[in-house]
Amino acid sequence: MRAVPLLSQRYINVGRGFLALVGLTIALMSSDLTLNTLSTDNPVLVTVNQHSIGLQQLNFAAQRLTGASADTLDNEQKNIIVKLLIDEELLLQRAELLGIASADPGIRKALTRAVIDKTADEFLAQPIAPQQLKDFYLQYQMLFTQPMRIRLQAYKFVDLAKAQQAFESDPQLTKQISMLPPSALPVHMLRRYLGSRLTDIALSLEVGETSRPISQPDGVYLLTIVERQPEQPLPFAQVRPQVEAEYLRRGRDAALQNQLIALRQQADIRINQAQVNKADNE
Amino acid sequence: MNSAAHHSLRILVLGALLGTVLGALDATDWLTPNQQLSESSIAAVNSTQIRLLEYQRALNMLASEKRDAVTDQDRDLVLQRLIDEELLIQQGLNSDLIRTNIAVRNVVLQSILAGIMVEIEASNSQEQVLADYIENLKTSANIEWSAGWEQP
Repeated sequence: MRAVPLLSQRYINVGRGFLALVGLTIALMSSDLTLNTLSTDNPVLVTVNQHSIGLQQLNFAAQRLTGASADTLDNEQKNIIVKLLIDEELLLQRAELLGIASADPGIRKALTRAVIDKTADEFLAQPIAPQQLKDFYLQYQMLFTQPMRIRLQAYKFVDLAKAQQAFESDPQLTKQISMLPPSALPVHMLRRYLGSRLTDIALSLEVGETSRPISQPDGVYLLTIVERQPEQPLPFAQVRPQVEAEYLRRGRDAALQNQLIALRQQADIRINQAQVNKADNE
Repeated sequence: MNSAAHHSLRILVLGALLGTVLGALDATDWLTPNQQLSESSIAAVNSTQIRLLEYQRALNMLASEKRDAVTDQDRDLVLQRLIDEELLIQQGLNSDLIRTNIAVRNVVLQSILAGIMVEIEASNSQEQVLADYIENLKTSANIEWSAGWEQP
């Protein structure tokens, strides 16, 4: 039998020890174990089955229960709150163990809401550079454009003869009172006042032109276009608050969509197509 | 090398090989049994199954709000929304929102307390039941106080 030199045996032992340390480090890194005492911004007061209750939680609970920071409380009061937090932690762990957290419809709703809010808050916390807003304004300029407006006079007559008479005599027409407000209106407002048919006819007229009498079930109409204001983009400075509001609204939606895409990519999703088809045919 | 060293080296190599094989199997999901979706499930998101009943309930709700008949597109949308909801719930649980979000925390505590209330209502000494319940949880829990905290 050949004797192993002492030095190489030592190297072997050191090597094994090193490998064991690497293994232990990997095991610790992959476990859920958190080294709570290393956290400096939230020093741990107590751990309940590896879940830590820190100074932040105490302050938060003190604020919630007494309306004051934990610093203003004496030790006895602080301990009462910490004991309450321990009781709550035990109940939360029990809820997790029983699967209540994912089965109760109320909790599911609250969790969904909380994740959506958290995603939105993370987006809203990001500062918006002026150039970002400007780019957004240019990209969606249609949203910040004043639509075409038309100043229109609409006269209603009881019968076709009176309408025809007014159509043929300008002085008689001007004596009539228009049923529309005197200001220029966007097309959707005209539709609300006149309905689709009359609005479509009005849109086909030139400025200054009066339509021929138009028979409707409730009477006969004459329409005169007084002014047509073309659609115009509103200057950025004028609509900046609206641009920012729209940017935030779309950004929140996009952040949630991106979150869902990322979650789907990481998840194992299986669909029981046979059951889907069966349910759809029922 | 003596036979004892030879033997230990053999065990080390065997252990390393076994570890590598198990690691590779786990990484390729071979160790996780490919759970069959049950008859009562319409889909599964990670390990959570979405029940057929939920899908039907959501479809009925949509049908009651719609004037026209429910289309295939609507059905797919309902299924995708249920999957999205499940993903968000799992994300919420994984990010520990049941502890950090006050609204969720309150709902969870209310829910578990509602279960205990059934016991409490059946008992004469109402407060004692809750105290006993929490005391029972404490006896099986590992509670460690920080060295710097002046504990009661």
